[in-house]
Amino acid sequence: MSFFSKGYEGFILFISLFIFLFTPALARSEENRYLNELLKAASGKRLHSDRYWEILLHYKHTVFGTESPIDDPKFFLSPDGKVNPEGEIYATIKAFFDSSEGNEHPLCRFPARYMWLKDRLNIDEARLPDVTCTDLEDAVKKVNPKSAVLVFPTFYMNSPAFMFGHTLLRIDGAYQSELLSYAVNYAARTDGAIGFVNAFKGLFGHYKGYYSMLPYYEKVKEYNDMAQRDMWEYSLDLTEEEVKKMFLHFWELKDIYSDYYFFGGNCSYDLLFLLEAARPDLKLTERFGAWVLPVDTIGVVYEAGLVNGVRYRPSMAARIKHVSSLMEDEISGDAVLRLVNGEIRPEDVLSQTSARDEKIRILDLASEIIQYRYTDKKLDKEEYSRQFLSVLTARSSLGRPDESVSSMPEPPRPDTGHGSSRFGIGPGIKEDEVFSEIRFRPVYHDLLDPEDGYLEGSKVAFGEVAARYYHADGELTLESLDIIDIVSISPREGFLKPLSWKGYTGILNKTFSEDRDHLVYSLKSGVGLAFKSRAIGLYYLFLESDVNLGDRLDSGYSLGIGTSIGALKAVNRFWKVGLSAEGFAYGVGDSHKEYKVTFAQNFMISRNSSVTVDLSRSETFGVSEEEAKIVWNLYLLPLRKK
Amino acid sequence: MVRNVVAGSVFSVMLLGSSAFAAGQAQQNAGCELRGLLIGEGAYDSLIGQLAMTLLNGTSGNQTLGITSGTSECQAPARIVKEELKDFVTANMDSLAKDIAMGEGESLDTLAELMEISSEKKAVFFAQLQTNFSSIYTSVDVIAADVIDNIYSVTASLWRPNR
Repeated sequence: MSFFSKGYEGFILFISLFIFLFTPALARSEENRYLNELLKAASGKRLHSDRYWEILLHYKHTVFGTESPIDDPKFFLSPDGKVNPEGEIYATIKAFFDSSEGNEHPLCRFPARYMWLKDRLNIDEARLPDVTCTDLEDAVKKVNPKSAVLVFPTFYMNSPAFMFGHTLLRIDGAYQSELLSYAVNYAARTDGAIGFVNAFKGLFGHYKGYYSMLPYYEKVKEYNDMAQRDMWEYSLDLTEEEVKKMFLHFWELKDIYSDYYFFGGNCSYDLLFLLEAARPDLKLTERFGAWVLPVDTIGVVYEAGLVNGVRYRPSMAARIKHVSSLMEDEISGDAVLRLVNGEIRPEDVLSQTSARDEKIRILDLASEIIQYRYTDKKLDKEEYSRQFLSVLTARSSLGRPDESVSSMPEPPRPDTGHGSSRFGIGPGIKEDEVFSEIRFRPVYHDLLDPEDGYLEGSKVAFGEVAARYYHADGELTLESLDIIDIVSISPREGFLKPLSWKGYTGILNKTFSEDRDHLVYSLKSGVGLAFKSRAIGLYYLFLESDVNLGDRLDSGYSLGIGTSIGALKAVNRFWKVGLSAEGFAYGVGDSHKEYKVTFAQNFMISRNSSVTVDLSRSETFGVSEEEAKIVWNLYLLPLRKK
Repeated sequence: MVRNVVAGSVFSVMLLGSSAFAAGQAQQNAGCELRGLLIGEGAYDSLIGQLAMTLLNGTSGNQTLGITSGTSECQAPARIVKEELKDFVTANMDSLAKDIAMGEGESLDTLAELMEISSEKKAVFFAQLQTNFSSIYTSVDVIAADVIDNIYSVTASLWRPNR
């Protein structure tokens, strides 16, 4: 290795000498002499293996050698810069002497590299070409980077697909208002519609990911108001100088692409490079497993001692829920509903006899519900602006309330929840056969898992595998492989009337006769209604369909429809109970019936462990079976220190 | 390997979503008037839409640097104001309307900061805006430039030189 790098160094010196001797125009130029001096100094100090150089180029060492995950050739000044840190550093120094002018000059495009090299090599600016970087100067002036915040837009009801969340960085300047800060975001760039195929392509690196910087108010609008996602803002303990470095590195990444992989080189992972550019000894990007979940990166940043404050920014729907829960008076709630349904006019609210503060609450809530319904496509543009403006006009005549609405209570922070992978093991008994079960779920959350930081009534599980060892048979068998299992039980309460839904695809054991289970493939989906009451908790009803494929089925398949009902209650923070009953009638293909009743409980032991007790009774193909099992669950973080 | 299994899994669940989905591109110009709330229209409608957003990290407006003004296609206010103010009002017509009508809120604080209203004058400023709401948001078709001009004219007393 060292032989080769020495060789390279010699090559560089040779080239420099070549230029020095045979290019008369440049030959004895002062610039060239200085370039050679700097190249020698860089090589002498072995700067190419300095950690900061590796951060700025995103170099990673793997068994295959050193490589940067950045794919855009524009990012590298040497043709093999992607895999050659040493060649890249010499090419970079050389490029500083480039004779081009203006914003595309390497000094303007790579200010973080320049600032660092300038510091390490004591570069004398006067001996470099005189370049003015107007774009960069304007941006620095406008963004005015002073402090930074890691933002995590979380999930909201009925969108477990968003469960993974997302992270972005907010760079705060001199303005008091956070809305005027700038958000750095890494996302796939699609040209044209965001379609089904395109989304699929996003998984496998068919898209290019780009960094962007937009006003924070655009992001608040997008997440809080449109997607109904609460946002968590973790302010970072970085100095102004460090934040400036981060900004300069963002500038280098601007308009630079990398192939975008949803599970890997995704938003959260890439933002960590920016944090490292701010403070190189953080070593955040060195810790990751097979996949990176945004919420896990927050845990890592926390662990690094970088967080010095957390703020909660509720979504519009969360605010609506909160304010309507404060309205004890049924008449007021009714007035809001009639108002947004157009049955009464805002002026009618004004002429009501109720207290002024109550009128204010009615109109305030109505205006948010009108906005919510517009984003939910329940109102068209014209209807929306007409309703919105007339409610606000009435509202503006009432002044400010004597008593402000109490601020929203904060839900548990997303980073305080259980680890996103789960490993479980425990004994069970099916009829009179004793078994041991072992299961693993890479991601993410189950209906009965401890709820802190997660969303009530939601399940997102990918790739959960369970195997059983029946002691009598003495063999280990696959019990189930849940490729995907998503459930969203969202209660219809107050002014929000969501539909609940579920989807499942996977392989599971089905009982065909007294003594034999066989694996079948199942694709299940369902829609339903859910409600919530203080006594029962969440209760729900689903209509479902199921497609089964398997060679043990007559004609190899079976189509059925079914229904399920159930209730889910968190008795307290540590104890959750679920009761459910489902029945399916399979008519097409192999016709048969299937029923199942399950009573399950989960006891949280600590943040990252719990015990589940399951009791169930099922009947398939006329064979009924009872089963009981106890599973000890251990929750793990996929991000590990190397 | 694990990554591909998980990726394949996500693909399978996408098959479960029944509704066809094709979101229009992010509407960058949905701002000169009210209704600027919808960014990538249709993107949040369906499960597939949500998944697409999740997988691609957002509405994918292809703008990478929103530092320069995004309001060039909107009419400019008659009064000469700083670009940040123009951009902010243009992009926040709806929330600003709500805050003005309510007499408080984050958008309103931001407006005051951009207009350099001193803290002792803020209460008066907010009250003047609230009282004159219908002279600021004059109709459903009002545009940002007019809103800015109207804001200045209803708060004219604050801009007179000190006696």
